[in-house]
Amino acid sequence: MDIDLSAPHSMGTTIIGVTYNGGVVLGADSRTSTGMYVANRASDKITQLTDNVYICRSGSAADSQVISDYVRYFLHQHTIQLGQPATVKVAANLVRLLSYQNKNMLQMGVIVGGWDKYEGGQIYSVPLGGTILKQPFAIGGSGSAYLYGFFDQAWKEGMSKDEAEKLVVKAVSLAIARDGASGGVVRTVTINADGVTKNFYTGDSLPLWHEELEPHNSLLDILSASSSPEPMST
Amino acid sequence: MAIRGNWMYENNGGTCVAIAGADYCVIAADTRLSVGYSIYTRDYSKICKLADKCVMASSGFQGDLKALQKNLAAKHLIYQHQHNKQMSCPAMAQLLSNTLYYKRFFPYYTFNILGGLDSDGKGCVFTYDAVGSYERVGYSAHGTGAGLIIPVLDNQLKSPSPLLLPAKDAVTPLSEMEAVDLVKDVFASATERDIYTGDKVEILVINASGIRQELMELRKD
Repeated sequence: MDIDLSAPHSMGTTIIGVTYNGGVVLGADSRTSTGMYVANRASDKITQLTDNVYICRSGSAADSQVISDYVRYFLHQHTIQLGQPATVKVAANLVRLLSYQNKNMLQMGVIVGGWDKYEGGQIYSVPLGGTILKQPFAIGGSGSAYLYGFFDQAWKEGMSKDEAEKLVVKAVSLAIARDGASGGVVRTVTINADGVTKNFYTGDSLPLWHEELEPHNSLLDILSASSSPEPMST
Repeated sequence: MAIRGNWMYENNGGTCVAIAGADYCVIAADTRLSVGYSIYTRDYSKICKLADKCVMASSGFQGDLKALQKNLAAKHLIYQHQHNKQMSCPAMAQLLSNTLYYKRFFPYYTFNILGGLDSDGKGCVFTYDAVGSYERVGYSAHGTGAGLIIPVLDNQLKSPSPLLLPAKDAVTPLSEMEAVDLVKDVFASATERDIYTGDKVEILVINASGIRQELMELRKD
């Protein structure tokens, strides 16, 4: 095998977090790769920390899983001691502390998003190195490189829930089209005062971008449709 | 062991597979141990029974695998003393993940699959990378032949798609016999195309009545 099936799993990924008027929408693709092999085509990179706070993970799968487990454990204790749900800021800062203090050893970039009654919907970015940055929207992972220009143009303050979700799905699908390390389905998690809603969008429900081919179950469908013996010619 | 510079690992080759069903779990691994182009032995078990209903199969560096198996068996024994019962498969799964991550900066060079029955008696399979990231899945394969086998399992197991939401249980609707036949088929095919897979395949089937073992001959070239 030319590809190295024994590399540790890393999530070459696209992750996104967006605030809207009333909450946040988190989005991610579903591909986990080890080198050039897709170790999991259906991963769930949006992990729960508490009822009202979720985290989008990218980078080393093991590192981000373990850090998420620690933060979930600390937040659980914190919630008991506090007597009410933890705030998004506290959750994000716990992630940041572990990330910064172990920066030499960890390789993960995450986006923490959620809703609490004090500040409403919030998104915090915690990239490699352990910086914490509160942002109206955040993008991360290898696929985010293709989205900076898109968000500069498409992002606006005060979107509705549906507009925000459509934006996230469009963005992840654009990144999947261009980034080999992102793929699979688009998963979204919407968090607001009413609770948490999870959605997913299969590859064939996403719009096609420049020069992408229509999804087909078999190339024979294309053959019988056109009379040309060349399946790929338009 | 040839140590070039300070490279302390070796890949002994081989493939392991596990499939979870509604009330059974099939785990299999070939029995060839290789180094480079040589076969050291045709008769080496890569499978270890960790608990009553929990079995681990691994490919990679067998030296690290032996150490890992001993480590887990020792921790399991302590657990039994402290809790007066065997560890469940999901509990063992977390223990394995923690044990692997403990050596995050000098990893066990093993690619593990854990299989067994959960506390409801349903088949479960957990798949790992070398540093402990893990997930419960309906089926998995690791090792030199994995790239040849997984696409066939994706196609043949008729599992509910893992992409669905709400997540449907990923176990296959196939019967125990069909799953075992499929495992034999994929190993036979992988043996044809992967030089490190062959000799024999050891198949363990875990169900409510216990653990059954089968050995099937494979090509020896």
